[in-house]
Amino acid sequence: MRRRPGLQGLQRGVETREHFRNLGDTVKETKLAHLQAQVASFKENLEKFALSHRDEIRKDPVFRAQFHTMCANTGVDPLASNKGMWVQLLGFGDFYYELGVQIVEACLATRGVNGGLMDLDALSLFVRRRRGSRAEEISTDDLLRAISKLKTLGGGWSVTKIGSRRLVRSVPGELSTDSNAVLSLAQDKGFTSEQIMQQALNWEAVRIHHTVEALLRDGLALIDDQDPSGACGTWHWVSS
Amino acid sequence: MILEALSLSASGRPLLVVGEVELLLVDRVDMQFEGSGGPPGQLKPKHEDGYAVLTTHRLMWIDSARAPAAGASCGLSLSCVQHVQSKASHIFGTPKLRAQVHVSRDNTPVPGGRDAVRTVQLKMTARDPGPLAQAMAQALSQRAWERATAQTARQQAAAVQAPAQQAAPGPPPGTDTALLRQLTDMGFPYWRVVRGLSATNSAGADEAVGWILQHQMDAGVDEPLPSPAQPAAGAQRQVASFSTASAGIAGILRREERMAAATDETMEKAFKDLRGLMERAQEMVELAERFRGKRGGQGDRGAPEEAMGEDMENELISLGIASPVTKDMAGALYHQQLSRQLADFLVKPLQTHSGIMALPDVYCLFNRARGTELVSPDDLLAAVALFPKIGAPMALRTFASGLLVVQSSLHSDAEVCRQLQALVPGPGLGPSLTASDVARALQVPLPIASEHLTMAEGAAVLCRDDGPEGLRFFRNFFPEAACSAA
Repeated sequence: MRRRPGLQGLQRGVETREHFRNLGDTVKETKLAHLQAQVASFKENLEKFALSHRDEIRKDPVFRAQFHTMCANTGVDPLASNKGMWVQLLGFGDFYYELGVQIVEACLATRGVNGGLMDLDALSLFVRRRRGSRAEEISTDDLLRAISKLKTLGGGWSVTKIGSRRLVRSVPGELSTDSNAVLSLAQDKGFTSEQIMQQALNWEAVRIHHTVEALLRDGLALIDDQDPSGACGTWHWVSS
Repeated sequence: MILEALSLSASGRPLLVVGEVELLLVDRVDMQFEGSGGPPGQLKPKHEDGYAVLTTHRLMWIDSARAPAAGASCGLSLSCVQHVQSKASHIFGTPKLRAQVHVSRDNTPVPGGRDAVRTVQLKMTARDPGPLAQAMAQALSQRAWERATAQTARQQAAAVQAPAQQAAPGPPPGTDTALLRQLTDMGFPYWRVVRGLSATNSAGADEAVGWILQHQMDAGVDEPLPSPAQPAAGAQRQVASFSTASAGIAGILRREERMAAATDETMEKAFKDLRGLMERAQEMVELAERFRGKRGGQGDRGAPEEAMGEDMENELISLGIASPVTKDMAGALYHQQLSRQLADFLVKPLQTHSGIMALPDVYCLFNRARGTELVSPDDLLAAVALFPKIGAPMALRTFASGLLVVQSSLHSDAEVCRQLQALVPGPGLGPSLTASDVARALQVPLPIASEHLTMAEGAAVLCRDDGPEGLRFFRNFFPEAACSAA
């Protein structure tokens, strides 16, 4: 293309440039769309195989290793099996053990956000997503049963009911560092309140409540509900 | 016959090469050589008290007597084995596995060919070597090591090629790499963009696009720029074949479509049935690796509460176990081998979880790393209980509440006492400690901090002062006081 002289040439240059930029974006978009469609179909196919050919896959160790790599890279759950009739009738099988793995994974993945307190509905959503569209639906009852199966591993897990919400606690009190966070927050002034914690830590009310309860139980904090202004609600004095 | 000495993991499991998978473990196996054999420096006619591990690539013999140290453990590459047979027991002898191995002049196994001067027999006695011989014959016919070498060769070639195309001559110094990426993402060829940027002094995307559009018909615009260091390399390069079909934006679009269609076709073939997938497994693995992280389209990932973060996903991928110990494979050695694998596996996660992990977390991560080979909670408990026996650098700990955790040996009593002692320096009474001080200083949860304090008191490192202000701990200066009084 030769450069054309004059105003019109400049204008046309700008137009062509714009035109080509748009085309470039189109290329990029089609490329991405292709890729995403491929990933989706890859994932769907892999889910199908994981579900229906599991025994054959396990028989060939070399292929199994390759299959695992495919699953790991595309986020397919290699453990998404169906319950089957026998499990329901006789109560054995790996189904609840597998569900256990998926549940713990969900809690581990969100621990940074919620500190180990996860809403049962959110948990259910997470697990369903991970198991993929082809796996059998799971009920809340299945989740609760799988959680109770984890008791063999020393417990530390509990399901508490608060109002209509059910919360799964995956971090046992012995291993929770939430108290540490509250204590260091209260270190300067010697006291803290639920509002201060809410602002500084951005935790859910339930999580704050749990932590304060634990501190009160251990005698590390004291309640003071005689704030003269009454604006801040209950204060918690912390012994150091 | 001089065999290759094996390197073992910290807990005494053989280290495998990429693509190598364990097929069978047989306990109580002795090795007998024609003449003598073993790893270099430990040649004996007979090695006793070990177990055999058959992988897709090697036959290994692990010295159980000296586990987890390597001892006389040694390995034989299957490529050197001519054939294998098992001999049933008769009145005078125990059942044996006999492998004919090609050896070179200096008595080391070689894969046949010109270097092989003769074959030597290796005998393995076990209670029932039949399955081992059978699995070995199968592995010999599958020749997995050849596939692996072809694959690594391909990868190496790709690794050499990639920088040759882009980085080796490299964009000239001063090129704006952000702009470069932006423009190549738009679909312009790499070298055209580099030229455009250097001509416009990386002034901006618009200027560069302008230059590129003006010069896109120039001859050699897509050739690599000769780098000042090696001008010959650029000069020797052939001019890329040019046709109107591959030029311009439409050409790029066409090329993209062709590539996408090709991928679609291979995927369709591979996912037709299981056999198809097995045949194209390596190709599909590479495709999956390319797909990794490209899933994050709109709507696929919800709030952080509902989908897994990338960190967690990457962690799971990096922790993957290529050759999980299974019941079928390890037989009687199952729990012991599982325990070793778990100990090796947990070293890294324990570091990220500050040395302590509740068992459900261990259960999840270990099972995720094993893929389809689920370990039941009972087997996991059995494996964890074997930690002291295999000398693992971690141990099971039970809290008063019944909580079970795996604790790295960094949290051993002696180590904690040393850390607490450092917190209360002398001389004299020194500063005091409460549970919350310890929790802050050592970054541990409060209940653990108070347990540490009680333990240190028991070990005579600290002394308690149970006053009206609460429970405090001081350093134990009584030994010094007793000395000075005497």
